[in-house]
Amino acid sequence: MKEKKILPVLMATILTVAVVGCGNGNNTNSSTANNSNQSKTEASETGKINFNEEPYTIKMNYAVLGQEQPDLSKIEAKLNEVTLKEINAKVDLEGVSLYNTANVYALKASSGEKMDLMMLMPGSSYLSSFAGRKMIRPIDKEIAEWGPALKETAGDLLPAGQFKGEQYAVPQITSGKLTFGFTLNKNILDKYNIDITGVSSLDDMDAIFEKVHKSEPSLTLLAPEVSSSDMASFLVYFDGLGNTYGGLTDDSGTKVVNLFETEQWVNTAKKVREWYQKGYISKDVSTSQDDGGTLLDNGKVFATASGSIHFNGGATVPIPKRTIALHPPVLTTADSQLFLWAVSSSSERPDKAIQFLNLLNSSKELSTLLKYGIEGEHYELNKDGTVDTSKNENYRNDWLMFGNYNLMPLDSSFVQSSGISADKYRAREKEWNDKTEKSPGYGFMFDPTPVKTEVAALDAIVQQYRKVIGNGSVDTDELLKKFNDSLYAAGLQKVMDEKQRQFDEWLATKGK
Amino acid sequence: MKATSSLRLENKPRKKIHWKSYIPLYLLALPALIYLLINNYLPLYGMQIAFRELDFSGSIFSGKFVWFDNFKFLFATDNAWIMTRNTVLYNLLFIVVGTVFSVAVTILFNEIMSKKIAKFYQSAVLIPYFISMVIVGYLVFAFLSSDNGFINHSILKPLGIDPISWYSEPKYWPFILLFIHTWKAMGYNLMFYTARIITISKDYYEAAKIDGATKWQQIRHITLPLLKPVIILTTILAIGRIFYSDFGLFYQVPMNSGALYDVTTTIDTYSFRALMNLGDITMSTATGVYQSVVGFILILIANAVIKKISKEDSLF
Repeated sequence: MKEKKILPVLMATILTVAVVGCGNGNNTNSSTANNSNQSKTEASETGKINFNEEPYTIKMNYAVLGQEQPDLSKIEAKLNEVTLKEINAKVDLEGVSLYNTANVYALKASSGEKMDLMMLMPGSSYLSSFAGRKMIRPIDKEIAEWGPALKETAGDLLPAGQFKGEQYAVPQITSGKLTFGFTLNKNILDKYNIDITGVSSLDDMDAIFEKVHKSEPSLTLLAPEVSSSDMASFLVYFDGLGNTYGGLTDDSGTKVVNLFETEQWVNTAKKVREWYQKGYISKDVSTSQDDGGTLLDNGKVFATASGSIHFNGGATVPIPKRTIALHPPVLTTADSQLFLWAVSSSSERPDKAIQFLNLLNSSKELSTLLKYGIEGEHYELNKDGTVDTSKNENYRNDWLMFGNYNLMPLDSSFVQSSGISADKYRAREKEWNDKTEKSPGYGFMFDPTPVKTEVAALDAIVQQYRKVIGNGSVDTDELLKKFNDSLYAAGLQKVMDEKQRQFDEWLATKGK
Repeated sequence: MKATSSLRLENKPRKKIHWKSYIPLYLLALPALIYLLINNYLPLYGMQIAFRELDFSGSIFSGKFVWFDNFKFLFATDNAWIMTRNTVLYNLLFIVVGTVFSVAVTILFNEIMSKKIAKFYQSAVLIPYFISMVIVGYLVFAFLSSDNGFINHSILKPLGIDPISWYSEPKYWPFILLFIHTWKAMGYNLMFYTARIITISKDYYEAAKIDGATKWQQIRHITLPLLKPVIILTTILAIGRIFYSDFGLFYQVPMNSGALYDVTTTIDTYSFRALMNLGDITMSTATGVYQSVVGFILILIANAVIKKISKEDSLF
């Protein structure tokens, strides 16, 4: 119901915007041009940050869940002290509701509202469409000029911010790549004396599930970690290169294949169906709104099909958990695009925006400030170098979206729950990161614009079938064929051909 | 000749007075008219973005004209047929069943002697109208959930019948949706009909009683004919919205279960699913334009048909 109302509201807003926008559209354009000329001349003259001009205010938009943090203004004041000194600019932080980011950014862009830095989350959903519609601008020149630290710290991630060969966004440096597998309740494992070392495939899980099911027949054994997704999708490796339609599997090389016809996906879906029929999975799994992760923590399920397996092998809080990784970690473009910082086309000073990102990524002080808040007020520093944020409610920032993860201290609750000591944590993480490979498609971003009609139709079909098949709640053999037939009827081949074409082109330019 | 021209001369000034005497009324209507103009007529200009490419570098109206490209996704798959069929048939069903039920219940309520009890019933049937569809969705889930639902757990199980997994069996859903819609919308329609019924003069019924008419004859020959204009009005308005569907009813109530899409996909839910990830406002505008243009044509047709049958009941 709410969604339906968006259209009239949008229309009304658009109208107001059109009236206002037409009036001063030319002015803003010319002033942008002037400004960029200015900054160019300044740059070439001095090569350094100009402190003689009026400090520019950088508007920074990012996604929040729910409310803005109460102490944001304090953080901002502290931040501005540093930025005024370092880059002669102020930063104005403004959160945008996560579920509304696309609409809010679109409205801001079409109304000409001031916007400099905007966070795209997840960037894989927005980068190509925003760049394709010229909502965000290329920043190659600015990065070359003002981003030496960026190139150093986020250098190998930068390809993930590219679109059609141009840099449009800066990927956020976050913790290591996660992989997929199972997360299990350790109490139950211990109770029935189950050893999970050496478990590395779906078939290995049969024995474990059977043992637990025999002893506790009423317990649900398996659920998807997130209710909006399905189990088979969690348990198969696939680099979709921008969307679900055609991508790379483990053995497809650089050939784009249809995920729902691959042996891995089909077999996984059949396995999940088998478990469903044996009663390991809730009959309501496809309609349930409860995330498996929550159910696991509450002891309502024994295991989840999980996409958040980390090097630490489990957790201790809120309940002891063990994890089984089914696949080594592989970094895809979409992974590095979880948080992307892009510069709006309407930004008057893209150079300042990049200067700020550059500063933020190289400064431990600012990274820590934006992530944890102010020492003594929002966090305490522990002896082992980790921070304790448990006593603070006024500045909580659960995502790693600001600053350089490698520079900031670790959150003690996070380290403790992994059951590893703080100094070992970093070492183990580094080992894991070194082990992480990059997908052959890393840095490639599919542009769906030429086939957007087909993609829209495919999106609707995938929602119809993927979840019920992937959760085993319907007859796999019968529906899988119907699913693939509908996909091809809606133009899957056309989308895959287009993707292959773009991918080959990209590979060719990369090879040069 | 002379006579007619003098008649005209006489008519003219009278018409002027006629018009002038309405000025205060027009003034009264002015705020509402301005509201209509801003809210309903000005946005018509924005319809053009349905025919344009999305381009944020200039104003939103600066995109290139692509004409009907944005509409293509609606007709790209065999879903086009399913969603159109579902939208239209469900709405027809809702119009027919909803009207019959509401009229019947209104008349029954009207026959209740105690006005206090009648008022209580009227309020009680109105309550569902105010419940959000999201909450209705969970109420239904409490009944239909496979593992713990009331129907499976407390009715079918004691009777020894195998539990039904409601959310993967499409065949039950047309009835479930019809039931929920009628349950929810009846109270609102009831208000329309009650408002008309209480204005019917009691004299008619007294005269009928003296002539020896039974209750059924009174309803058939007095109440129903007098209700007819209201029924026609609500029906024409409903027909105008026949290409729209209640998003909550078709998305939230079946819990967006993929197995039920064949009987729950409507134009609104399809476009929501198709465009949720793409976030292309020109394509969603295209859906809106398509629905409203077809709805507009349908209103014209429905009105023309009614005009043919009984002229005095038509809308315009």
